[in-house]
Amino acid sequence: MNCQDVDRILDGRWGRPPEPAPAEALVHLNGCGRCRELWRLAETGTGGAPVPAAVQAGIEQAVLGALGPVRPLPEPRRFLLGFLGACLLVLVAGLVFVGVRTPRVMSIAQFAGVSVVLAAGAAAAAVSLSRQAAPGALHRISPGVLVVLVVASLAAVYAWLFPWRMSRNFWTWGFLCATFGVLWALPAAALMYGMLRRTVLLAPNVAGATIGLLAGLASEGVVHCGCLNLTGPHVTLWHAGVPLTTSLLGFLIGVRAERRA
Amino acid sequence: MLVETADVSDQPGQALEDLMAGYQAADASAAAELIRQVSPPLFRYLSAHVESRALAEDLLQECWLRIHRARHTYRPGQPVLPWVYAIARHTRVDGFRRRRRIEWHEVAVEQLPDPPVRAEARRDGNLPALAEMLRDLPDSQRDVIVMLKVSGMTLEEVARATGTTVGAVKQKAHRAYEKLRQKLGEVLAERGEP
Repeated sequence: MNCQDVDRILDGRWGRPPEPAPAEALVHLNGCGRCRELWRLAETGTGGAPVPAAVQAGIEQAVLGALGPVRPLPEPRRFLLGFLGACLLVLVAGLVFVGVRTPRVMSIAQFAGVSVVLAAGAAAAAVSLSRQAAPGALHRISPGVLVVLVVASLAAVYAWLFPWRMSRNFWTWGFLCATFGVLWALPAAALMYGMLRRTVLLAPNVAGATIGLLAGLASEGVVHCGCLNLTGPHVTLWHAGVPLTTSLLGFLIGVRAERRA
Repeated sequence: MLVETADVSDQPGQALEDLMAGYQAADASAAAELIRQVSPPLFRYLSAHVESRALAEDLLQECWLRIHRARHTYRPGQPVLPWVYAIARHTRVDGFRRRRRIEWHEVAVEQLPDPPVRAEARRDGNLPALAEMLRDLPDSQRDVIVMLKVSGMTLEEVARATGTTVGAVKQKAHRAYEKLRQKLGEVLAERGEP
């Protein structure tokens, strides 16, 4: 047994009643002063003064004086369905407006590859956002990491599946695609923000980035089905740039909201 | 390990959840009992992060006001402590930012704040207390260790409270162990012990 094994034993002991150290740990603790003292710190009480009676009474008075019944938030599943519904609505409206043109000119791998990343990213972002709606929810992936992961995956799939050659009007066409994508994401973001109005977002910057990501992915679905420029640089920069831009915008709006609050 | 958390962890598993449900339904006795049970560990958590007791008292009061405003966001059946600590952590971070902004405006540039008290071997030869050792840890690691140690929460509960994953909490805890171990090694070396 070494110091790392002691760390792992400590991991399993937090939140549980004290119990004697296992025999194999005792052997190590007897020989390692640093681990012995760390173990002692973990086992001993922390002291700390009690809450002053006046403070306790003040809190009770403030809370009980404003007590009224409240309706708990709906289940995360309802938020999840709402977010996915908003995305679907924006996607369908966009496809009606722009038209579905690319399946005829893209290979199956190109169309399916990007669609799978968009759908999986949207599902993961919707799950994350539905959990951010209430404090104290468990996340399988950190929300901030998720945003970076989805945008990076989308850019990687675009760069890998599409031929890497420059197109004519790279800047003009690209700017058009990106502007449309960002603007089309706004209604989805507004719908999702409306769904979250009763919640308490403890990290508005991260929640803003996740809303931006989700709305950007829905909008990018429209661009993916409508834009006929299938060159690698165009789709990697301008198409993958849509969720990146909307996430950044959401993040900045969240930062501003946090500062104002 | 849980000597100081008896107020919360000695209660049956459902107790806090039932009290929280009562609080949402405007049951005054449930709300008062919840405040009595949760305030002590919450106060210790906040005290571990601020320099003065008065500041910790202010933060505790502000924290309860936020809990009160956000009580509808607690979902019945979910663990109460991570929900409470998520709000407490946010209150603490907001309080820190606010103090920093005030200090930025009020303190002259030449007057640098005092460095935090560092954990050193005491003159009587005893090892420093945990509270002193924790002051040397970065904020995020201290947060995790205080929740685990002072509040007796599990890794999953801390992950919920900090809005991260269990893996990230474990990583922070292990880094904190390593720093504490290093500091303890220095203190032991000063005393001439292995």
